[in-house]
Amino acid sequence: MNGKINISILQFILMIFGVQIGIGMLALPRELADKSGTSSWIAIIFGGFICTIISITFIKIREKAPTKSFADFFTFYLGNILGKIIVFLFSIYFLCMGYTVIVRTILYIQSYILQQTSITIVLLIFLVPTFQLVSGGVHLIAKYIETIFPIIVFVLLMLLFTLKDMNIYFILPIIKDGWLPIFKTIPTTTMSFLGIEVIFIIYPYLKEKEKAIKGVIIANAMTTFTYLFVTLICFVVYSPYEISKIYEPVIDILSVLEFQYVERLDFVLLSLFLLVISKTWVTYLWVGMCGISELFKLKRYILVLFILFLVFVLITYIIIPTFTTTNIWINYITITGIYIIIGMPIILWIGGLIKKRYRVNRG
Amino acid sequence: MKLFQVCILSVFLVIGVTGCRDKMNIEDITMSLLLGIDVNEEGKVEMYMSSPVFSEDAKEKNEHFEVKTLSMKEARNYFDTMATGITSGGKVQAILIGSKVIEHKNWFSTLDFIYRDPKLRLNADIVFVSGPVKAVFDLDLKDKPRLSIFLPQLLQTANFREVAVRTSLRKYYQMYYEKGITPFAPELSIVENKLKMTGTTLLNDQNVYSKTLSMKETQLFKILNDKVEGQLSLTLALDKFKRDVDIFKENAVSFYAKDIRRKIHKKYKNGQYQYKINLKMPIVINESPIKLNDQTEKSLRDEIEKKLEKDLNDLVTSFQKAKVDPLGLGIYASAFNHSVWKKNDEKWISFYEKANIKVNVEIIIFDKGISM
Repeated sequence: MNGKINISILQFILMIFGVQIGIGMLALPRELADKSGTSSWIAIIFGGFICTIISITFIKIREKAPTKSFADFFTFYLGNILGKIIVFLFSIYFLCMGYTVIVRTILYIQSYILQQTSITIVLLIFLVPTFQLVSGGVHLIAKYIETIFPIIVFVLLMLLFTLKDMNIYFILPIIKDGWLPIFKTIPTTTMSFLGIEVIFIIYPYLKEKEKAIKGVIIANAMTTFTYLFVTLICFVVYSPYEISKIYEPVIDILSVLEFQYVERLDFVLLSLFLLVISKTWVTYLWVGMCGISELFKLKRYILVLFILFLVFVLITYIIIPTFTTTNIWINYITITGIYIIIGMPIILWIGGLIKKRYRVNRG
Repeated sequence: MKLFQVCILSVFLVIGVTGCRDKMNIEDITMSLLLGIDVNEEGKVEMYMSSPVFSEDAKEKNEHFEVKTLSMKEARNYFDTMATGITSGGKVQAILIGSKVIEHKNWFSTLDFIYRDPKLRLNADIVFVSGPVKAVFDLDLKDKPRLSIFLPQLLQTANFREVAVRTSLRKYYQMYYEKGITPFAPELSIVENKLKMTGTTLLNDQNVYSKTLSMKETQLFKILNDKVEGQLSLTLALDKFKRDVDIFKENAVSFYAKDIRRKIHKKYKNGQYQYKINLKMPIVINESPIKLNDQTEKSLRDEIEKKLEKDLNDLVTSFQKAKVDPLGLGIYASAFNHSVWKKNDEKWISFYEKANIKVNVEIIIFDKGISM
């Protein structure tokens, strides 16, 4: 592709981090508590560790053909037809993921802030900046993510204020029912680290490729830390019996924050957090469009994007998404995601082996 | 192409602008600052709402409404048929609950709307009214600001002086669902046509009324609970220093208690929980029955320790007798002995009744005033 567009290592880290931190974080403490109580935060560390290893594998695989773009890379490894099919499926997966995230976010907005406003209209408003960012390409997205990174730091710092109501005995003893439930929670925590699959696509744009491994380790460590921070705060502020009754503990916890000059900080912080979530869908949609446009050698990229967004609006208008339906979508999509991040290296490895043998035979 | 894009975008933006249907002008809002729930003599649920009136023409500065219905959300519709503006709950300061309501088991279900609607303010206080809620709303306070502003102030100042507890809706939710603690909230009464914070209402694990603490017991409860953030001034009558049988007995000692340090030692032995609550209390003497020098200070300290220890132990025993655990000792039980707790979390109160709880007080006098 265009070799001139480059992103720095910081942008690379923040992009991976930005894709990982999203809507999943808002409900994470409850999901974990449902699975294995308040000891489940230990599983986050394991999940982070597993994802770091997978990310490093991705980088190692990608290093074999560092400058090849998304579609070229797969056709290079897996042959023309199979490679194209896989790239197409990936693109669909990314687009679905992006769409699910944006719809879910709008549901949050509707539930918390604009209860009377229709989903389609909020979606239209959100698609306008998304359109600009996605059509702007990786360079613009990287800069956008870099700019709004301080917001997540701010939101996390505000969470510290909720600790005035904490009770450390809610989380003790650290291991409540043995290690088995904790290990059973690891798949859930691994799912919340999804987003590392974009490494495949953004790697060619990275300027300093030798620092890539360090970059993914830092990005995963940041995500692990964020999840741990949020989960631990929720576990000491909420009672273990209470936390499973609140849908999004991370938003709800902020509702008691009150200062002399400002009340209802949760609405302000949720609105700010929307920007953080927007990183997820913008990146996913761009990645999906990237695959589609390379695959079909699109000339009218903008027009296709426009049609895609129209389809999004139409779908939303017709099916009226609810929390329950989006939960089902998210469930399917994260399971697909898990198969992808584990299956992708294996497929590529097999493809590489066959290719090598083919070459040897020919030679 | 470029012009086409700009046109399309601006069309979308225009659609978007009209889309926000949640707009509400502040002139059109009736801010419900106080909500009330009560059961009347006929056993029907009544909802109350009070809001300030900002109109110059109105003689009364407060408007209040009552509706007989089971749901507060339905009540809101009726309020809207009577109020000047659209009723909004975003600024609720307190919810008053009548003493008859908490005699019924499922009363908490009427508060479900609070925890479901994100627009309601979870920092609002829960207040139990001893007697009918209607009397509070009907009260004509000549020397006080309007009720909806006076009551939150009263709650705040009483809490600052540590003579009343404060329970927000959020906190109540936690105490309701957590099995190791039983709920409590401040109690409000009307005494001789005046509003008064008379103490603390304790509810049992079925969320039904069980016991009321007086103002003095509330102070002791706050010491035990390690939640002293404002100024706590305690006055004790020490029998040892009683000199006269006159009205002025000269046996009162008063002191400020600050930075109380609490340590709880827990043990589980033969199916019985044992708690030892050690309190380390630095105090400032404000009033003393005897002249204080280094020797007499010691005897005064011993007397205070003895008296306070007795009072606190009595309080804890009365909690156990009433089958309430407002201190949340169950949370400690769950933290230090989880396997036993997990099997018995439904029956915590029966364990609590039999538990051996002892309070030890250690007083440190670090200031005795400027004159002997």
